[in-house]
Amino acid sequence: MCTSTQSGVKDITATERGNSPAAPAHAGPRMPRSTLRQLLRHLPVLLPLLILLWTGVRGLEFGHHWDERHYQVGPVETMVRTGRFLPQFYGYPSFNYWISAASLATDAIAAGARGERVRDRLLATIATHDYLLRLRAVYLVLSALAVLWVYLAVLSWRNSMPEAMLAAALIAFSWEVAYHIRWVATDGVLMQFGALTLLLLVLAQTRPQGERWLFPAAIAAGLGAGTKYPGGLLLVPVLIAGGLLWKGRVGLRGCVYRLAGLCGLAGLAFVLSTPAVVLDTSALIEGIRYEIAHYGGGHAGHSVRRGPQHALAMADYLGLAVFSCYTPIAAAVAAFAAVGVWSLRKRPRLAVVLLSFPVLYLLYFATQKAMVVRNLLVVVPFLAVFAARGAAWLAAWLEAAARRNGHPSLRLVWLRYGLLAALGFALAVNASWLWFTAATIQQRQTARFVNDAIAFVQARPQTVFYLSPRVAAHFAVLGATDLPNTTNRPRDAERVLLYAQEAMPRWQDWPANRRRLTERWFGPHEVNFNIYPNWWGDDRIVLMSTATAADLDLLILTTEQR
Amino acid sequence: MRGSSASPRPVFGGGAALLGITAVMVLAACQLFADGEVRPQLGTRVAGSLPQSWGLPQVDPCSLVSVTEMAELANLDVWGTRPGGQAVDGFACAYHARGPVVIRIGILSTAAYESLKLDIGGEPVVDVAAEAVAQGPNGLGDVALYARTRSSAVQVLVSGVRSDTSRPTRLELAAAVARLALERIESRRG
Repeated sequence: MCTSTQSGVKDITATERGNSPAAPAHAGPRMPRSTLRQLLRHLPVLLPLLILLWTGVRGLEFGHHWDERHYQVGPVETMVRTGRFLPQFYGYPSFNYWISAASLATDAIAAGARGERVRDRLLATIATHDYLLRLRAVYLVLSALAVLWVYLAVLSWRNSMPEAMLAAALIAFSWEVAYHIRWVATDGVLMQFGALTLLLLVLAQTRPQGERWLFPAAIAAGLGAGTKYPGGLLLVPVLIAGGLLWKGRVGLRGCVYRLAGLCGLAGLAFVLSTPAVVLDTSALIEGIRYEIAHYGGGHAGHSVRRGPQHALAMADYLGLAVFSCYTPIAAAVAAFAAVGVWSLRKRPRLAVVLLSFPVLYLLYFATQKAMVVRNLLVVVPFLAVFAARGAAWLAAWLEAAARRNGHPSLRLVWLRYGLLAALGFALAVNASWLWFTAATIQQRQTARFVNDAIAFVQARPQTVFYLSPRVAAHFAVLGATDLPNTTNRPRDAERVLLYAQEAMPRWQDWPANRRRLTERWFGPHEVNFNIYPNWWGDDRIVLMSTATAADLDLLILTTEQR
Repeated sequence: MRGSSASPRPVFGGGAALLGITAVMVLAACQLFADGEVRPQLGTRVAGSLPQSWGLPQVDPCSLVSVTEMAELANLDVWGTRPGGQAVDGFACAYHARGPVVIRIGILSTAAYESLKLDIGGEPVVDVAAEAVAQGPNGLGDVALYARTRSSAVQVLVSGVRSDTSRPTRLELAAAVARLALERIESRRG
């Protein structure tokens, strides 16, 4: 497995990058290129990146999130109040808290310049809604860097702008990614470190003297661990890549020393990002133990059985939801990812490097009893790269097949164009969904969603809808009091329309992660309600069949008015 | 879909410029919401001025205010209650009145209240309890009031058909209900 670095580099650069095997990849002087030309090769990524950022910013005022106040803003407040830079909360490591604290820099400078008490000023700022929005913007931008890293990774590996654009756009236009990275949370940042590690690993595999890229890769992995503990698994592919590059060249001892160096760098990055490792060790261990018990014990409606059930649930989410809210698109992208993995079969070393993290990470989470999908974001960059590879491989295969036997097959040529057109269409659909969802967030607290529900009911006169008391009251506010196909007796209806928060006695009673929980909902799309039905944010009108409502034992069916 | 160049490209040639653009965007993100004046709202109190807990009192929210009391407070014909579902991290009771009007009383934890307060922002509502913040009226006329004492917090939501000129106003009604509900929770806690 471990052989010469040089042969490994040649193998990848000469054959995988699409160059002629006759022209050695690193032979001869490098062609001079203008900075402008370099920039033009990289500019296309700005399109998906800016769409993600633009729609993201439009939806920052999305309402209430469970964790932001107490587990993200609170620890920063503690750091400022005590002046000790220890957040005193270790359910997460501390990288995020440094980011959030750094976001106060302009306030600190301004307060200092005005001669105010800096600490008081910062505490006052932290307690404001404006600071929360600022943090959301910072986390959005930071997490969105994953799009850039993936673009650069594919460009470096494949030397193909379209393939790099596809990988970048798959992440940027994923609704699941888009709404998660608006949150002040660790998961988007970890995803970004996952993508950065991926980029650095690709550089290590494809550049001359690529081993030097392994050291920043180890630092990125360490910071990933400093963002969320399971992110430490990012070090595994770094060590594998190091082993593959070094063992045959520097001998076993040299290899071990270098791998130890990578571990040391990652450890140092982790400790620097989470100084409680040294300064508040027992509290940190307590925080980690709490999270181990938390994920090992289940989390309300997100609880699943360990093993195959959890693995299947993750496969369902990653295969049928994460790349699009439209199941056929999401499934097609997942299929491309499978093709991309399959296309690596003749390059086992690269396959091991690229697959080791997502496989290990998913296996680790399969052993847990809580499935909160935001933890899965970090594997999305890897899947996007595989999917882009799969699509490109398929397009290349169709092109080659069309020219086989000396005469072009028109059918295969059209099939190839059809594939490319379908990909473009799918990306446009996903991007327009981001636009739509951001608009719904801007229309929070308006009458739009009730109007939409009324129009929906009116357009289906053959279907009988149950209206919950609050939905009926809102229909009445808008003058829709005499719709003939509505009833206040749920058992007489085929469909029920109710506010989500009317449905269950407690938020813990909602079953999470069910892609088909509701038929649709009328309300802001700041979150995928089918995945997070226990959301504490804005209420929304949900539509489901009476049979589903009965299966879920909704309050409207099980309680009577007193 | 493959490129044609024969030599590996310096990845950070154009990438460096992109990183520069990104850095500017991060700074812009920091500044995006930095210009807002720090408002002297309830939310500016440093955590710790009022204790916070995720605990919920074991009280039936439908038992806090009777139908008769609600009818008097709302100046409405209230004809019944039913379990109202979830109220943030707690539970609610819904009162139904002619109109139709729905008034929900929810019991939530003080920690959830503090979390909501940061999200809602805005000016505090005074003379309700130790702290209170309100949302609305929204496009449907709904008003949501969140109020807390040292150890308890409630949500009162007023929805439905009610004239803007009716007395009490939705906010006045929500405040009166919140006051009564908090008082009852405190008395039952002993």
